[in-house]
Amino acid sequence: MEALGQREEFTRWAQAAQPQLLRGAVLLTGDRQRAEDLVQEALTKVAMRWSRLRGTSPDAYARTVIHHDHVSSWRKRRHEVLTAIEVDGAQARPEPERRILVLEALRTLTPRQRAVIVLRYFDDLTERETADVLGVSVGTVKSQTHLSLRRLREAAPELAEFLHEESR
Amino acid sequence: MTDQRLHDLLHETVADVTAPDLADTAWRAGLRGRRRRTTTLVAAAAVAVIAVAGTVALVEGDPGDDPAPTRKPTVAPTQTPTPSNRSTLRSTYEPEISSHDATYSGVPVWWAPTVADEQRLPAYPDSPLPSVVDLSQVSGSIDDDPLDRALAAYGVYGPDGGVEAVDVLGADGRLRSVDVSRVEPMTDPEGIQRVRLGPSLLSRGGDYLMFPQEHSILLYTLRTGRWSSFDTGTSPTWDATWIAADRIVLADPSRPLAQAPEYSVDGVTDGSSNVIGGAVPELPLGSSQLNGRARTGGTRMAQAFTAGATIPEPPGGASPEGTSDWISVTWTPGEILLIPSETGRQKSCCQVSGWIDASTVLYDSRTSTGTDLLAWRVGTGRFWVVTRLTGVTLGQQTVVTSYAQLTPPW
Repeated sequence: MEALGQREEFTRWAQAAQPQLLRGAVLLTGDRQRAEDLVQEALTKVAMRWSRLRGTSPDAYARTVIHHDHVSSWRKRRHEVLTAIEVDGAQARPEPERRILVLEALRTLTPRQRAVIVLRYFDDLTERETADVLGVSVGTVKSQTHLSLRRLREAAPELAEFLHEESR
Repeated sequence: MTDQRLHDLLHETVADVTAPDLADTAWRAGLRGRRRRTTTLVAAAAVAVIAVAGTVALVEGDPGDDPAPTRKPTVAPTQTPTPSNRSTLRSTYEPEISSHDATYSGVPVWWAPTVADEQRLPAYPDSPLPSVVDLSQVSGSIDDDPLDRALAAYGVYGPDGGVEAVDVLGADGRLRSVDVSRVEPMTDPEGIQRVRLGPSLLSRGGDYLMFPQEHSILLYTLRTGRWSSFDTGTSPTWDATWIAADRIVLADPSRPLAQAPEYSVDGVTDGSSNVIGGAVPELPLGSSQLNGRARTGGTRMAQAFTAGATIPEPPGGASPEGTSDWISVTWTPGEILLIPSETGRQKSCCQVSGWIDASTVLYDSRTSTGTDLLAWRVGTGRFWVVTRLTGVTLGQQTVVTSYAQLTPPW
């Protein structure tokens, strides 16, 4: 009965968490299939440790797994040519112009810079929380945020109004 | 309000990404994983019982040994250790422990001290390096206070990624600054322009500083205060590495098995070597990557790796397998030091810094509280702190360390 209860508990958590995790992973990777793989793997790792994580913060753990696995896989593929971004059949139907601009601009960032942007501005984490997920210092988060926003402004001047820096 | 606008923009961009229900598949996969883990932990616990019994016998037979740190809690001979015991913090340390914590593909694995335990490590006796190096206390310029040979070089990046200082440490314990304004930034592996300061900043003999440039190597000779450079053609220079007192190889981590061109400090190229291949152990590496420079000591070589290999973690930890950095000591007998990931431990935390004697390897420990140089007696559970770095603004500045070879031959 306990195992059944845990399974239901996990399922409720996973169904609530996975839309946000998947959307963050899409912004992170620019690739729907890879994003889904990352989320699947993260949910599996949470499930393996559910009895320990259920009373803590499974979202934070899943997010850490996603970002770690993404950087690891990127390191293995860093010398490959990046393919075009595809999000939800982007090639099959017209995209709003601004959405394309955002995705194209994100492509100009390094994996770590994308991670910083996603964690801080999509997941709304603080600099400290972002540093903990990525295993870097707060100073690195600050400098990467600064560099990333600058690079995004350069890549998509049309989005400049969204990309000014503010402290938080 | 701009933060909120960017938040809204990102959410709008992926608003129509819908998620299939992955929960059921994940639960079933997790269940299979748990069963595998349980089997592994039962086997590990059995090994731990045997290991602790052996440890007690060793300790009792060696009462005169120096007090030295270990990672293991004190366990009475009649007690059966539980997995969680092995990862709890301790306030006392035992004499030498010679039983490893786990194995990975048959190679002994040792678990390094936790971040908290590192603060309680004793000082390494008779170290040529100071116990504390305060990077805010520089005695002056090397031009005014010449130095033939340095024990260590430290680079400090500021919050914007620019170089704030390069200092060299003499055997007298004094730091001298080096003017590096002539060093040009180059493109790093993530595509960012910055000055390359890395673990090969200082030569093995401590008499040169090396600065990779695009298509060239720039050298500073401490004894003469002279700058020189030589062209390297199209070979990548970012990971240029010292392989002898006066020889540099243009290592390329993306081609670990390839022969890489060698240069003398005079710029003469007359050979090639496979410096990386020798540092890579014959182990399943997973997604682990080389981290920093391989260092030889006596007949052995140590090389740090990033997380990725599924090396056994201490039981009771919350880290997923494959998330901890590790150090491989190759050649017979091989050993692995796993530095368990935890809150406060930086990723790519622990590059090998050299050897302080033929059996004791040095590694940097980078945590949220600073950078310390630690020593591990290979094949034992003995650890020391050699140098604690201070004088850096945490969260604002990043320190790069590079050490000369402290034991001959260089």
